[in-house]
Amino acid sequence: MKVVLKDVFKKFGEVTAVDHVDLEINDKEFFVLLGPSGGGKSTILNLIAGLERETSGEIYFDDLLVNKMPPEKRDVAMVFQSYALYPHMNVFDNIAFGLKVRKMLRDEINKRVEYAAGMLRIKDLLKRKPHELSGGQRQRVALARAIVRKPKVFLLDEPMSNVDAKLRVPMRTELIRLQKSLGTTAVYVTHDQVEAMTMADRVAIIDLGKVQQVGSPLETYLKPLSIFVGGFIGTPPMNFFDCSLKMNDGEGRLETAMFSLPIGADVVRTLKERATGSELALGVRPEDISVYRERPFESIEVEVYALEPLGKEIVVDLKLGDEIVKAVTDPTFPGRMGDKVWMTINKERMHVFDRKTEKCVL
Amino acid sequence: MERRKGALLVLAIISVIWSLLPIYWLLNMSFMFPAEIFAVPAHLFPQDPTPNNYLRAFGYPTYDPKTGAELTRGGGHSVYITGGLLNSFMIAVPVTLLTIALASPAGYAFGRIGFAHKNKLLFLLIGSRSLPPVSILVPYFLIYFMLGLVGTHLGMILIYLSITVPLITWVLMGFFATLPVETERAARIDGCTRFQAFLKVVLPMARPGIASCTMLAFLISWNEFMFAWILAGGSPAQTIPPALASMFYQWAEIELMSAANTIAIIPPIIIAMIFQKYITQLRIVDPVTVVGA
Amino acid sequence: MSLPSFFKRGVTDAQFAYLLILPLVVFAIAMVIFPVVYSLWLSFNQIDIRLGQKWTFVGLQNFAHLLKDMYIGHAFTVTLQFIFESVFLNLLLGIGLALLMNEVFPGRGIVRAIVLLPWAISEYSTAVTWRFIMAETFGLFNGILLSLGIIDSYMNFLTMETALHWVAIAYAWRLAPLGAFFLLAGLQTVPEELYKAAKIDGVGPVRRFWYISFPHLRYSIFIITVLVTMFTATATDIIIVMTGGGPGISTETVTYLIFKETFKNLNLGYASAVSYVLIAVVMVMAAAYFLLLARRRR
Repeated sequence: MKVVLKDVFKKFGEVTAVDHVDLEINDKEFFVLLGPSGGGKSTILNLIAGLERETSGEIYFDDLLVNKMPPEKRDVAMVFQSYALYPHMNVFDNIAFGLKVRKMLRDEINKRVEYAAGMLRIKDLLKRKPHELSGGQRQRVALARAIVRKPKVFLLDEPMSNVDAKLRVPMRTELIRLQKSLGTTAVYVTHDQVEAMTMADRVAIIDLGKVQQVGSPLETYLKPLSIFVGGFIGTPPMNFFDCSLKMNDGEGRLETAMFSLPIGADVVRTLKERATGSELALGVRPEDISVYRERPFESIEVEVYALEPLGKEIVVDLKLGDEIVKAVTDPTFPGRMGDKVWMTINKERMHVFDRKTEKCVL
Repeated sequence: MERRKGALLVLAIISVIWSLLPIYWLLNMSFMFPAEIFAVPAHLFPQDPTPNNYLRAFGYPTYDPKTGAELTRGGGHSVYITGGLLNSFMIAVPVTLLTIALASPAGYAFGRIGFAHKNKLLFLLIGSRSLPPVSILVPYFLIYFMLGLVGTHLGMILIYLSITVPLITWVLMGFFATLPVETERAARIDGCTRFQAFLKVVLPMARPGIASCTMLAFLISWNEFMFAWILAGGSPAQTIPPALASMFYQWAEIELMSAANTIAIIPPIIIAMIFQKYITQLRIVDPVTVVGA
Repeated sequence: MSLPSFFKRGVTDAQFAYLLILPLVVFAIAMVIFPVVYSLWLSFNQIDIRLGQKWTFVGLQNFAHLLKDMYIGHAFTVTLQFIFESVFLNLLLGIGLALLMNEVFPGRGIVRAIVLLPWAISEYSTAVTWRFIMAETFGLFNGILLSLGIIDSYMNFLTMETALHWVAIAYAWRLAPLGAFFLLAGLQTVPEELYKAAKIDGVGPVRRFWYISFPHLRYSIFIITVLVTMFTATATDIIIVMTGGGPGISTETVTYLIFKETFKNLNLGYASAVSYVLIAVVMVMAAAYFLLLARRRR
């Protein structure tokens, strides 16, 4: 089932939580709403669920306008951050609750609950009460409760936040496989960009109530449309340098406070077309910066400020004037704190942004 | 650490003595002959215990244990005691049940739903309760007189409801507001209307709070004195507190008063002991921090 | 359970709330508004029951008399003193008991059950019991003091100077447990780690209470103070039964005065006037509470 949000706007008193959002979520898609806390993504989820009423705008399930439909009629299933299991019922009743409310027949209920419990491997927990279960078990019960109703769409609100870090990775894969085998559209809210990158078919980055960018995870990584997205996606985060376009004898250069980068003519042309002024920002990912002990051509002199060895790579903090630039090197990098080294920027992979939050060129 | 536990136990014992001693003293005197009550120094334990006082309270004749001669005749006071107990039950139980039935949804609404004029309505509801009973006693009597409600069970139930419902609504409001919101939301997603979610999910989760409010409502309606005395004193609907009062206008028979009062405080004590473990679940909550569902 | 279709249709949140609340508010107001208005009317009259309910409209005369009546002034003083002592004792006992019950020690469950008991006793029985305890010729208090050798013979403790204190003590004996349990519930929401961190930092028990427990309880303590004040201001049973306003008029609070005027002096009109003043004062207190509440929101 497709979920479409058209110009949805939601205010709480004086505070705008969702600011004219348009979204199209395709049938069977695993769609992730990614963004920092308080950015509005949970509100969007609640609006889809019907737990909040939009101030203005429209929400469609396939072609049906659902604005006025209360949550109990929307046929969605939701997994909450706290799992929200019913404490006074055992696991079986928790899962069966939605079916009982819809007056399903006992045999059918039993069948479905057994099936869902089997899928999530909690068949032996059916008689227990929520307070007797571990966090991971509770999550499975919450998931079983969601899938047993065969809803039109799954809504998941940061379901991994309360799960052990170690368990998250296997849980993620399991969740994806579950969703794909059931073929149900899923909308997943998280602030963890690694989760989003690994799980999403498409991801929408939400901040300040607005959709910053929508696309496949790879797209958002390779082609960030705004400074925010560039800085949000990718670990370690992108480095930004304030710069401006300068012409030197017909040759274009990007001038920052500490260095100057020559650029090609076509790049200059694109910049001149698309930029609103000469105030630009250069964005370079740490993995696109190379560090050398000997000075290569067109490099910038920096000092090693800190090293974070991660096993498969080393994250190096480089001091450039007053700023710190992060770069990633292979684990054999022999530098130590205080060493003078040189860095180069991969111009094929740099991003230039208009300082009014827009991207110009790859 | 040991010293600390020791100090705590000492404090605990002191608290227990503080709380129990008056009650114990009443109990003590209720088992004594009149003469022994005035013994100096006072006896902490009856040296010559007798159930006579209780027998008298319930209307049985009593006899001198040594001579077998009849001390007092039967009848008399018992009408007050048994009648009083019965009436107290007949009034306290409906009031308690009705209060819970009415105040739970209202408390839920105040505690969970945001709506216009909430504070004003809350003020009206609770403010009505803060009037001193003695001030509105006379008008009440006159109005009740006109309506023919004086000395009726219905009249007493109505007036106690006007006391308990606002109070319990306020207490439950605080309690409902602290229940987890997401569980309610889950119920709505699962297909419940707001009302169904309230019945099937919120109420069961609210059991401790409701249990302690049951106790509260019962105690209030059982123990109330002023209105019962004025509006139903001496009538067929007299509850226990005024019954005791009318028995003892002169304070002459202390041993009998002790027995009668002991009888009167037993049902509330039983109720309190049954429900007491729930009272720690109550919370006083700032109404402005209420979260909607 | 089949519900009427009204519920199935699904009303908006606000409508649902009003449905649940308005009937109660209407009921509460109705139960209150008529007596209050009627009381006002009474206060403008002089009613003489003996002469077959003869009513004479006297306008504000009752209120004028009220201002000149020295008994009223005295009653207000007594009431204020009573409130002051009552709040003090209730908070002291309430916080003390709450702190005690929050600690872990063997038998805690039984202690909690016992501490609640005084609240289960009616005000009437409390008054009777404490009157017996303080009695001059057979009281427990006398008995204990005599056995301990503190006094030589039984004395009267309910004197003009001290009676009010004992009434306050008796009243607090009964009322404190309720506040104690509310505070206990509040104490249990304090996270353990705060206490642990404090202990590690070497903070003693008194300061632990002041800096950790107390801030958590501030709102509850405020509410309890307001409630105790309102309850105490309107308490009558205990005065009537325990001391009858005496000795003399040393325990005659405003509420007892109203009682006396109504039932002993049969001066209904005047009693109503005094009642009205009391109602006004209590309303002001309730309004003040709500105003403070509203201000906190900002």
